[in-house]
Amino acid sequence: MTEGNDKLRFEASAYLQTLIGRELFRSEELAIVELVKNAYDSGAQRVVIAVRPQSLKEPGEIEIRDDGEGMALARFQRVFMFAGYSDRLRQVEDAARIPTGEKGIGRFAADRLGRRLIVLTKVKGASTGLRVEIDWSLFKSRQKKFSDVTVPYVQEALPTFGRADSGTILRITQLREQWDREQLVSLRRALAQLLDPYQRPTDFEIDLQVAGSPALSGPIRQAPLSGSDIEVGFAVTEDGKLRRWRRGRIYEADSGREEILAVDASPLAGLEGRFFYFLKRPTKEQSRGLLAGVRVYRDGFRIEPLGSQRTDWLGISEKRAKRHGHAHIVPSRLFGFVSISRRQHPDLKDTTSREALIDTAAARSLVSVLQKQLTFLENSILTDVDQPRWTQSRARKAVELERARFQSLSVMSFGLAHELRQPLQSIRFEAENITTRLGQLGVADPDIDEAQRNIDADIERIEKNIQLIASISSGSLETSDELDLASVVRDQCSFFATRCATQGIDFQVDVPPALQATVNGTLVGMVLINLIKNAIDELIALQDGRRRRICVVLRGEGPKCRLEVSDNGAGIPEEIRPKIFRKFATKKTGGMGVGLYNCKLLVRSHAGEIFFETQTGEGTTFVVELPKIG
Amino acid sequence: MPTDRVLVVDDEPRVLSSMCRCLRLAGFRVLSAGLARDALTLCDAHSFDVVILDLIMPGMDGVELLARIRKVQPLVRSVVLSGKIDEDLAERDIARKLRESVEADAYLSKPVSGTRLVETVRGVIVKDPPGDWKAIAKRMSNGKDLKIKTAKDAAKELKKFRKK
Amino acid sequence: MRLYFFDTCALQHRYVGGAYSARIRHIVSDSRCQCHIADWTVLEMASALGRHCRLTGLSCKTYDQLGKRFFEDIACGRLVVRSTTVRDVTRARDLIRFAGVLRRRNLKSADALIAAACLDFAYEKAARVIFCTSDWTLYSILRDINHYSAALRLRLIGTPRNGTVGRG
Repeated sequence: MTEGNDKLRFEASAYLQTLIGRELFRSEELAIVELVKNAYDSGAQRVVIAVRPQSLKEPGEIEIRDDGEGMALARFQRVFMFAGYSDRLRQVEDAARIPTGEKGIGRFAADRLGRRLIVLTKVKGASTGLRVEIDWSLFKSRQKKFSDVTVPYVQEALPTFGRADSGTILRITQLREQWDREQLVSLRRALAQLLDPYQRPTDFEIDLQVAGSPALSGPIRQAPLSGSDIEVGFAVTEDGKLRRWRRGRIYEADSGREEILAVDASPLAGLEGRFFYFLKRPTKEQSRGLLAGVRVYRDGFRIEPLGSQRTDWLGISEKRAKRHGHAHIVPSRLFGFVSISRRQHPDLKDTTSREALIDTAAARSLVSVLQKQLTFLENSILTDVDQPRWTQSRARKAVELERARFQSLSVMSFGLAHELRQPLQSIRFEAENITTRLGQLGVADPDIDEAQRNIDADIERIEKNIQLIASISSGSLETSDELDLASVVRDQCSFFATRCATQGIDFQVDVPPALQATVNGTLVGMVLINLIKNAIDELIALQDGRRRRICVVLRGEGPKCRLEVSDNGAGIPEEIRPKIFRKFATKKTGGMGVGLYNCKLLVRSHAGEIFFETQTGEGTTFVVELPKIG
Repeated sequence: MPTDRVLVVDDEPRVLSSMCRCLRLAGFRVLSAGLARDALTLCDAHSFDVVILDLIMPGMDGVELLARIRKVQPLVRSVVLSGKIDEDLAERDIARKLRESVEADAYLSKPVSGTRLVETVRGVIVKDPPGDWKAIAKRMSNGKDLKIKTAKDAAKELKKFRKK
Repeated sequence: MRLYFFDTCALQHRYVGGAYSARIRHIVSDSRCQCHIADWTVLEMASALGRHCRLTGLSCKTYDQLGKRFFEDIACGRLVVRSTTVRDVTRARDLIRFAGVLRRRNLKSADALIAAACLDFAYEKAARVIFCTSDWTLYSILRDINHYSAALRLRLIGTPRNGTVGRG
């Protein structure tokens, strides 16, 4: 269009309306959210959204009613009919309430919702109000100019408003959507997400009423999160310092730990925020229906869609991707709530597309502060959660490695045990056969008898060692069972009671009535037998006339079981002490035990410890400690 | 007694021969087999009073063999040998474990002494069975007790029975 | 001392007369020979003698006399009766299973019992016992069973099917 003066003008087609209305809002829920924001901006204390979904009997209708300022005709013309208008920037300094919208296009959200809109609005003190009927289908034309489409209005008395009342009713009909239960639930959730769970405006309420469904009707609330494992909260003080605290389920002793960081975040003074992290995916109850992500709320209202799941404005996912997924923060378990204020943080503005904050120094400062707090959170997770886990799993792996080493021996052992046992059996038979036959031939000889006895004794001895090999291979040394350790120890000790008595050795057993533990019973038995046998051998050799005594003590001490076998013999000589748990320790050449070296291996492979205390001339105590849950 | 017939089964040749010699010196009539099929062939041809076998043989399934021997020789008594696993669990436990799969008359753990073996074999042999045919028959029918049901309607019961 | 064990059909020759009668009588009266029979033979002999009497038309009185002579032999110890036990019965069953079913020979139950008892006797005495039978079937069956032919010296008193006369 040309004019004189060599000046051109831009003009817009009416279709622009459709474009703006329909395509700017991602969903109907968000369109309603925008209209609610407008109501908030108009100073309303309460906005009621009444939805009557379309049914066979009645057409659908959405009514959004607020008790805000309302508009007179002149203002309506200037504000409502002027696309893109907003005097909200000016409102900031003098208004008691900080407006949330500023782009002036929210009204077109109505187009998104239904084909027809009736606006009923009245200012305080006026006797009549304004009734405007807008048919958005008139704006479909791409040829007609935006400003050529006319919209009828009438000034009349509005029965719903009293003289002293003010407010606006938006009545949307010819709904474009069905508004089924799922969508209504989604609407409630979208409306709830509008509100800051930690800084709700106390003078604004959103009420959703659904015709015929009391379950879906009622005021909108966003409850704060519960049950998070780590919570990091922070606030920027008046003088620009950052006060930070850390709480959470994993910090029982540390709750309320606070610190002041000497940073300069003066443009962000008044900012508050919280990060919540869940170590495992939070339940619906814990997350209160909120999706993960860091949200920013301005004056109690969410900046949408900034901070949604789709944007990675803090670079969390980027960090994770860079580390090939090893970053400690899993985005789907992180929730953040940042509260800013238009008045205190005028420089934090969102872009037209509302996808991000306009890049100002204040915005950069905000991102920096948030990222720093996230790093703090991440470090907390690392040191207080992940690292202990790793240490534990490394320890577990070490035990498994020991067992695996032991086990590779056992695989070979089964065949070996069998191989040894068979010839042993045949030797035993034949030795006896010889004696029997000689007897039948009438040969009776004490040498032959003694030789036979020696053979038998040695066969027993070999057999015991074979049993040990077979135990290892049969895996009976590998599993742990829940059993009463006290009774196992008592049973093993009872075998020795008579032997000690005949040898004139006092045998004391000090064992609690019961001691439940998850251990390997065979292991305990083997080690105990070995230690007692050693003690007996030691005391038999003792000739100094003292009253000889062996003591077996069993105790449960916290997470461990402690088994002690003491004798009051001569003690272990100095020079042998360092060697005693080694292979081929020299003190015992015979004996039927499995050897202390084997004991040590066995005990160690079950994450236990074996050690001794000895005093020359006084005696020795061997101690075995095993974890109660092995 | 030389009329007591013992079958010894073991896949280790020297164990087999030493055991046989031991039993023979003790006065039993001993036949031996190193393979399951030989053992079964012998069981077809001979009547045995006792069979001695090692349940854990790498070459064959001792449990299975004992079961099959008993099908042919239902009255034979069995002495079962096994390698010890745990000194203290030994016989009681093995006996219990094995009983779940097969019943034997005696359980011994290797390496067993000749005296013990002979004692055990003598212990399980049923000398002159006193003509308790019911007991004998029970063993012959693999231990199943026949229950006698009395029927009121013979024709109906017969029909039912035939259907099975 | 020779040990003999008689099957009923072999022993009957002693009482009924005939071609082999002399031989049997010779063996039974020989003091160097110990002659044994199974208790089952006591019953079988009644049947054998009875059959003989029927076929040759002898009277019941003769039958009784023959029976008396049999018991005299037992009474004065020329014949020793071995009681068969439950074990013998079950062993005989095993023998029937083996010879009768597996080897598909026609082994009669009484014969099985007598054979089993004889084997047991041989084992007990730890000597090779001479088992005499006139039944060719029984003779050939036992001859073909290794442990029987090893433990017993089998003698056929009578004519084999193929015509060869067995030695006494």
